[in-house]
Amino acid sequence: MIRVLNTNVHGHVNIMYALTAIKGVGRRYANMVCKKADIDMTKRAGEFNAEELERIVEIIQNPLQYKIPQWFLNRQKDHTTGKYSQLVANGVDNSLREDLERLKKIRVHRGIRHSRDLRVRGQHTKTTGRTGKTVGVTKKK
Amino acid sequence: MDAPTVWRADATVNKRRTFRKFSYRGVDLEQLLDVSSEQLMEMVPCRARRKFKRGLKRKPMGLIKKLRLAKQNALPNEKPSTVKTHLRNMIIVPEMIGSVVGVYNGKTFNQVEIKPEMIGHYLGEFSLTYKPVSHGRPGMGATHSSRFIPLK
Repeated sequence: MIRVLNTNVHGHVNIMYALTAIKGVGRRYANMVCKKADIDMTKRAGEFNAEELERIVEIIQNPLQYKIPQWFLNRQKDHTTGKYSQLVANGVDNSLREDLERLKKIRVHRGIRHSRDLRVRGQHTKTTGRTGKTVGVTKKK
Repeated sequence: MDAPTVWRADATVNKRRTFRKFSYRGVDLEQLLDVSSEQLMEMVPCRARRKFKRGLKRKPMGLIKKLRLAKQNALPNEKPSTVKTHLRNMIIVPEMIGSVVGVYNGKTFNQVEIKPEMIGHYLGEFSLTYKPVSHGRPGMGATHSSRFIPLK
């Protein structure tokens, strides 16, 4: 078990797939980062020394500096800052929460649907999405 | 249990509003008001960009003129008078910030004060067209199991 970016990464797994344990890093992004870091992709995650892991973490957090194209990132043209970045680990949860807060604060229709736990994207809700919601008639005895 | 947490959340939201300066895609409020339409098109999402590209022939011009008039006639430190419109498909543009628009929802004009965070959204998104559902007790025949009961 290695600790990378506030997440526990398995040491016995191949490095590319071990990095996917981090939130915000999927298979494609992990592949890209490993390639840009010039590390041996056949090795397991536990076999790397601290300096190489640090290099990987740096590339994950600053993708644009290491020539990862803008269209590859998961937070493009951010709504408030306009920056292109890759959200990882806690950043993913934080930004999701902030986006929903923004919608609710403005009182857009989308935000209202989110705050009521209803479907947001225009789906019909009469008959679908029943898991957790109860529909029924109680019998009087 | 719910009331104190909600109040605290509101307080932090208000704090964020006053401390953090507003910026849309990295551009501050003062700069936004001076931005040209081409630059605005770059910043806004693709749906809005498509609408602007396809031309604003005469659709919103009346509304924008009335908004400007209302803002001019408004006293300082007072909200401008409400401008009513049926144009739910009008995209909110920095020029409109601060105006009060009455957006039609089929029946009434809902008052919406345009804030800077609303740029890029449609006017109709702020005016609910349906009354939110609050179900009553389900009646006889609502489910398969409740249909046999009505025989006295």
